[in-house]
Parts: sequence; structure tokens; C-alpha cells
Amino acid sequence: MASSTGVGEDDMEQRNVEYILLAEFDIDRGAILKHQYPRPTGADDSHLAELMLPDGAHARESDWTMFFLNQRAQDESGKISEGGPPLLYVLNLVRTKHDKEVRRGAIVKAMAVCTRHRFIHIYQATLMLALENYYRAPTEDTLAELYKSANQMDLSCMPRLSRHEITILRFSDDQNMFEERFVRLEAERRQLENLAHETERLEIGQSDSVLTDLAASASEDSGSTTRRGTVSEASASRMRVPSTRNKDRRFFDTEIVYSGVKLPIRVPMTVYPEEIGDFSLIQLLTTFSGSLPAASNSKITHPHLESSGQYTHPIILLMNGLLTQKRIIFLGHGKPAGEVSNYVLSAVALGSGGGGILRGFANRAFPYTNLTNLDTLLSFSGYIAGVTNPAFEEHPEWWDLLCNINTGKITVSPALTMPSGSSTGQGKSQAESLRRSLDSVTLSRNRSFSSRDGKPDKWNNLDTEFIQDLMLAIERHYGEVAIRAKVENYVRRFMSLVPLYEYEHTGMTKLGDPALIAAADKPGVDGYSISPGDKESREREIAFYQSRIDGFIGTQAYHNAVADYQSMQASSFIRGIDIAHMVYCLRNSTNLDVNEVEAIYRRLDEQVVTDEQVTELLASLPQSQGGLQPLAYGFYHPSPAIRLYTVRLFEKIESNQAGARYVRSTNFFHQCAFSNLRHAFAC
Amino acid sequence: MGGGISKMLQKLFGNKEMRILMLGLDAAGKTTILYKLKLNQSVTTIPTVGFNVETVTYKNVKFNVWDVGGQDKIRPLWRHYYTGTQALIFVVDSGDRDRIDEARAELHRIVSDREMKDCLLLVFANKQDLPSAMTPAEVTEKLGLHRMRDRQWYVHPSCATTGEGLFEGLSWLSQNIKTP
Repeated sequence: MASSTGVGEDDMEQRNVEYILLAEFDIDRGAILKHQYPRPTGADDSHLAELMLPDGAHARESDWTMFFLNQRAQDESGKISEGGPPLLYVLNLVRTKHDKEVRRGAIVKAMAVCTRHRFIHIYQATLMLALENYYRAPTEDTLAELYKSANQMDLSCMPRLSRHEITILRFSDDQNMFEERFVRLEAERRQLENLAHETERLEIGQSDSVLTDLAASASEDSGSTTRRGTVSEASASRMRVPSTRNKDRRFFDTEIVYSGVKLPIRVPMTVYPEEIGDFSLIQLLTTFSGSLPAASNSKITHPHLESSGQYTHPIILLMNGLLTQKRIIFLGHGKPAGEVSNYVLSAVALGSGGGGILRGFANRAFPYTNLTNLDTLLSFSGYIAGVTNPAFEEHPEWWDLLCNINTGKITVSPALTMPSGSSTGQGKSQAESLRRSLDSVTLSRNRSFSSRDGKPDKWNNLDTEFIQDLMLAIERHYGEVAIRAKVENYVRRFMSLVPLYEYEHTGMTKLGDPALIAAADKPGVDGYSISPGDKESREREIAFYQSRIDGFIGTQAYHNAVADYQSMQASSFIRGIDIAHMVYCLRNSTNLDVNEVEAIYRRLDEQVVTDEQVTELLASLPQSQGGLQPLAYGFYHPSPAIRLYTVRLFEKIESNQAGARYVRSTNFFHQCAFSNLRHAFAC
Repeated sequence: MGGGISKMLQKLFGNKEMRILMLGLDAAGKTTILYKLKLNQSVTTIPTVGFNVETVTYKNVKFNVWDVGGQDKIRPLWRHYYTGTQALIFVVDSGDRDRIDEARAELHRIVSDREMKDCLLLVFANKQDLPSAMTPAEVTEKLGLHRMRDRQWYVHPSCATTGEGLFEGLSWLSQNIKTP
């Protein structure tokens, strides 16, 4: 570890892969770490070896595992010390080869790649080849070759998208949203290559004619970069770079050349901070939504977890556990470690809001772990861990929630203690009565449900809509991105309640602007965030989530959210207005009066000026949710002022490269209205 | 965990259930015994990474057998499997005179654990087919079993590959299981 601190951050940025590890199962000594290349990771050797050789590896031909390095437990105050080496993601392949020639009949070896890339799955194919090579040539040179190849993978032409741009691209139907960025980098690259190439030829001695060639090609390149399309055509004939047209620019295509084999690599461009690897959230949701938790009559329900009493939907139970930082185990007895890992990574995405709202789940995730890692696991106040060993099931003192992948059941640990403060007695009954009053409110709205027996109806709370929506979407075969977006919206909405609750109870909050929160009852410009405008429904929602919010405050994700809010305040391009709230109003409110609407458009027009500001605005108008549609209604407003603001706003949007695509993708009538009005106002 | 359900099942079907932990030094034959019991055929086993667990039913008793890898580095993990264990099967390679002392030390360490204080102890003096194999009496003596006064123990000769002696061992367990 000491060696890595000497390396500058920028230097690290250049490297794709930090370490290559090799472990094998020694028949006399057990799991041992054979090699670490180029230097030791700093983690305990035998620990690494045990994680690389998962339980039951002897029983299957191969398995994938995943684990992370440099995870940090919370200190007393609940915070994580800043600085130190970055979180590294480890992808590991283990293989068991039967061989009658060797003692005890088999060789078990595992090779792992440690990287800072969250899209760690891109290394799978290379790792398979490398482990195969290692069986043939079991030396450190094999690791060195892999290290070299992986680090030669060229990402220099991959545009570095900002967070807002990632959001725009992620939810866009237009895969060429940032085409220009790719094209520009590729053109620059070609120019550099040409120069290098020509210089080489010059040195050989063919001087004069080359110089003119060089000048010609350079000018041709610089001329064509501005015209989309021509560059790719010109280059296709000349260079190895394939045509850029009709490419899916949500990915960056590159390759790893390993031991003479060219392996195509697709790097996803739209990865959120807490999305690691290639997991399926849909699989997690379908596995655990089937069975309702067994009604355990005797047990007192835990307010953080069972937010709707014993009828809490399992997915909500899991969501509560994630948000209140409980110790969560995914147990898949007899399953490949790779499959178990998938559930943990999915849970990380679930808790963090599709990977994009909250941070800190990955830091306490152990996609695959086993008994050897127990002490580390228990040193975390909350963790999300994947195991295959059913011994974990027999030790409820080790976990708070156990999700059994084989049965689809989620069990709350009988050993789980009630949270301090609002635990039993008064707090409990208070929460209970709140919930009951809530139920009756919802009940009166929806007469088809009855709860005459006094029990809260299992389909009758604020989470129900979310779950039903998710399940319907899965049934209709929506994709991962769409499902994750639903989770993102759900967690975003929850996060909009936290500062309100904090402000209400303590008079202050670090998660929002107190001035805006104080004005939360005003529906228009000054309103706050994305919660429903009226006071009653907002209070009802806060009351419903009260115990979850209580459990959330003080977690790692909470502290990160505070830090993120502060840095967002500092780095945000649009100041003084709450874009999310305005978009929410335009999209959902039906009772805004003219002055309010006018104020919204005026403020948007005033505040959104620069290219960056336009990008930020576009990010809160994802195309999958209609894109510019909510703004476009301004074209048809009776007030001429609003129409004017709308036109001005659209003109600014159109001058942004992504914005132009947004405008082009609005429907024909909006486009007509835009061009007509623009004309009218210009006259 | 699940105690209530298993008790109910016992009442319904009159079946006994028994949780068994099978330990021993590496290459003693634990996995071979497990699969011989389970499948009644000799399988070629390779070193266990982690553990195996199988359910074997014999004479109306459902044996839940945990077979945990035996390399010395992973022996500290054995303790995590103790909870709820009703019987320990300790497997000894009768041909390995060099490591019988090591086996004795491990055995005594296991049974001295608080969680293991009530469990039955069955020792398989395995690999009896080897010409130089220690006899059960020799194994008993070398393991210092006579010093274990407060425990029910039984040593039985076995040969995992042919299956000889294995079911006799299980019979002893099923006869001596304490009904809760």
C-alpha cells in the first residue's frame, strides 16, 4: 500500500489495471496467493487467496467471483476517513482442472484483475485466456503479459462525459447524442498518428514530397472535423479506424491485444457511480418479490425494516435494510459465486437509486465472501455480502437480513435489536398510530380494499405503487435501464423528503437549502424539490417514511449525500433555482396560475445561458421521460411573455450539440410552433 | 433456526434428524466417505475448497453431513460450523503415522469447544485397506480417547472406497442420538 501512495493521482488515471493476482489451492496448505503483479496490493495474502478460491470451487469447472479492495469501515462518528488508496474492483476467475497425473487428481487455480474501472466485466475474455495460459506457463511472466496488454488498451479516444452528460445519454433514444465528442477525439488522434508516421518516414529520408503530403492531410483533417460525417468517410479508406456512422455511442469500442489475439472491448459510457459490473437488477427483483415474508406472529416488527408491519413487501424490506445500513447477506447455497455476486451488485444499485442517487453502498459491498472474511465483515456496521455457505444461515447474530436466493425468502434476524430512541413503547406506538392513520387515509381513497380486521392491508401503502409499477414493467420486459430508472426516481423522491424531515425536526438540514424548504408550501418558483406540492400529502409521506428516514440519518450514504450536496452547490452551473422542482411543477402541476408559470419560464430563461447550463437543464429532462415536452407547452401559452421565454430558451438549447438533438426529437407540432414563433418574434 | 419445524416434522413422520460435522486432517478421506454414504458409490474426489454438505438418510434418520476442508490454514474456520452439531465424525488416515499426533491435537481442540460439549464422537479409522494401517485400538490409543471420560465416543475401522464400516458407524450414531 505504501508503494501506491507515492504514485500521483494523474498517473493512476492512466492505468487500466492496477494489479494481477494469482492464487491456487495447495493440497497440503490450502489456498495460497502465488503471485501479485507488479507489486503486492497491501491486502492480506491469505485473505486474497481465500476470496479467489470460493467455497465449492472443487465442484465446478469454473466460477467467477468479485470482491473489492481498500474498503473502509466507518469510524465512531459514522464517517469514513477521506483520502487513502481508491476503491479497487476485483474480478476473479477460478478454474478446476482434473488431472489424473497429479497428486489428488486436480489443480485449482484462480487469476484476478484489480482495476478502478467499474465496468469490470470488460476484462472477462482476456482473463479467461490468461488463466489458460498460466496453466501452460505457470510463471509471473504470464501475469506480466496480461498486465501489459490490459494497460495497453487504448481509452484515449473515449470522451470523458460529465455526470449530466451521462444522464442525458443514458436516457436518450439517440445513441449519437455526443457523436461530436467522439469524432473530435478520433480526428485529433489521427492527426497525431499521421504526424508520427510522417516523421518516421522523414527520418528514413524521403523528405520533400512527404512534407507537402503532410501539410495537405493536416489541413484536410482540420477542415473536416467541423463537418460531421465527412471525417469518417475520409478516414475509413485511409486508416484502420472503422466507420463511425451507425455506431452505438453509448459504448466506446476498443480492443485488448493479448498474446496475439485481438479481443474487442465495449466500454459502457453511461455507468453511474454505484453500478459495478454487468449485473441484473431484474433478476434480484424477480427472485425476491415472489413470496411474502412468512407471518411470524410472535415477533415485534422492526420499524426500520418492516415499514408496513408484517406485510411489508420483501423488496421494500430489502430497500429499507439497504437505506438504513443493515447487515445484509445474500445466501446462494450450491450456486456459483458469480451468481451470488450478481445479487450483491444489484442490491448496491437498488439502495443507491439505480446507482446514481446515493453513494457508499459499494464501499460496504462484498459481492462474494466467505467465513475467512468474517471478521472484516463484522467490523462494518452495515454490509451487503454474498455467500454460498449455509453456515451463515445458522448464525443470525452475524446479520440483520438474510436473503436466500434458493428460496426467494428474506428473513429478519431474530437477534436484531430495536433501534435506540424510537424503539419500543411510546415511539413504537406512535409510529404505529401514524401508520394506521395513514392507512385509513389511503383507504378512504380506495374503497376496493378493506382492512376491517384492523391489520394494515398488504397492498395498501405508499410503496405499493412503486412495487406494482416495477413488477408490471418487468412483466412487460422493460430493460435494465428502465427498471433502474424507476428505482432511481423512487430513491430520489425519498431523498427529497429527508431534508424536509430534518428541517421540520431540528430546524436545520445539510441536504437542502433551508430558505427553499421553508417556502416548500408555495407551489411555484420557490417551491422545493420534487415532493408533491400540497402540505398534507407531503406530511403524510414523511410520516410514512419516518422510521426509514430515522434509520437513514447517520449512515454512510447519508454523510456522502451531505458531502455531495455541498459539492454540487459549489460546482453546479445553474444557481439560485431548483431545476428539478421546476421541471416537476411543469410536468405534474395542474393548478399553477399564470404568474407562477411565467415566473418559472422567466427564471429558467434568466438562469440557463451557457452551454454547461443548458446541459444541466437537459439532464433533468431525460428523453425517456419526454425530453423537452414539459417546456414545449410554453409555446402554446396564452401569455405572450411565456411564449417569448420559451422561444429564447429553445434557441439556447438548440445551440447546444445535445440540445439540438433534443429539439429535433420533439414532435412535429412543437418544432413548427418553435419555428413559427421564432419567426414572429424576430420580426 | 428451524428447530420448530424439524420438531414438527419429527412428530409427523417419526423421523429423526441429525446434524453431523465431519472433520479431519487433509486427505483423510472425508469427502470420499460423504459421497460413498450419499451415492453408495466410490467417487474420485479432489481436495475440498471450503466445504461440502449433503443429506444422507439411513434407518429413518436424516443425517445432515457437513464435510469441511482439512488443510491446516483453514482449520480455524471449523469452529464456525460447531453451532447445533449433534455428532462429530472425525476421520483419521490410519496409514499416516507421521501425522497422527497432529490429528490428536486437532481433535482435542475441537471437542474442548463449549459448543461441542454435548456432541457424540465417532472416529473412522479410515484407509484400513493400506497394509501398514494402524488398528482401531492403536488409533484409539494414539488419539488419547481413553482420557475423554465425559463423552460418548466410538472408533470404527473403515475403508471409504469400498464403503466397509461406514454404515456401522452411522448405526452407532442413530442408536445413540439423544432425542430432544
